Amino acid sequence: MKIKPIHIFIVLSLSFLIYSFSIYIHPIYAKPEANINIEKAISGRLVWQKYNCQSCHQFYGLGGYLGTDLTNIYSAKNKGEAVIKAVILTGNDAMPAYHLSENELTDLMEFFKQTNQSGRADYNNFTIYNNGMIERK
Amino acid sequence: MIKQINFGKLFFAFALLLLLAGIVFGLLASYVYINPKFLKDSLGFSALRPLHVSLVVFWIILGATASVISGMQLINPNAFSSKTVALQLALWMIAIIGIVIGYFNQEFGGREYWEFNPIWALPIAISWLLFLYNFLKTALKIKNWPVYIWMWMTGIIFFLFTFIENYYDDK
Repeated sequence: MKIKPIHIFIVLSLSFLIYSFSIYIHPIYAKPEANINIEKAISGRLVWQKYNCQSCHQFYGLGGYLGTDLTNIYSAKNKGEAVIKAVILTGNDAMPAYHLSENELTDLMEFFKQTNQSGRADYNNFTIYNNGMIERK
Repeated sequence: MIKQINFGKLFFAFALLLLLAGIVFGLLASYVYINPKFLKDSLGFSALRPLHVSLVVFWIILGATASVISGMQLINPNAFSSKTVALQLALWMIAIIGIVIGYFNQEFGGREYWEFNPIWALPIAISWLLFLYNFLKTALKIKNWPVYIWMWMTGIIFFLFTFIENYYDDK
């Protein structure tokens, strides 16, 4: 049988589709730290998405740039759970008050706790090279 | 009468309107950086940003759709069904108007850049399938496909892949 361009197209498209969906079937999860309640952290991520926190805030430097990067907010100096909760509930100059339930707040804190343990995102510690590579100092 | 409508131009006009709206919301959002209290307790930056991004993304998608439809008109104006192209545009309009109203009513949330209520994904998906149908009606009448026809088909099919992927729920 002569191979036609349409055959190549179908094979490539199907390969992409199978590979793409296999990622969803066998997701790669980083092993969480022992002190993290992963179910709560997942719910916390959904709270983050529900209230569109990414519109203003970043994780690992990605997101909106009106607010601060929250990757390591959980362990930041003079911050911690109580301050984060207070800012969410009362707002500040740029941020409106968000009326989260107690459960949503607890889940969100677990999510922050988990992201905090996943790495440091302070770009002051990064060196950007001319070829686009980024390395930690 | 519907046969005489230049759908390529109509899609372009709608796409340009979205670009204009996208620029307006982008400017409003950028003003928040100067005056953080601007619209803070009404629309808010959290709605302005996705409004700007969504409308600009729609401009890019519909601008490309307009280009393909214009190309299809040049290749063979009678090959595709004008009624389904009209329906395709109408579905896009319904979805985008619904999405914008949703942002104004604070009915949104979820993945960055694609935060609108999932119900609006339905007219977009149907509209895209109609686009594929009309594209194939035109393309299958061509014997040896030039490279741009392959590129159009790849774009149309792979948009569907990435679009469906957004609504995969692993819970």
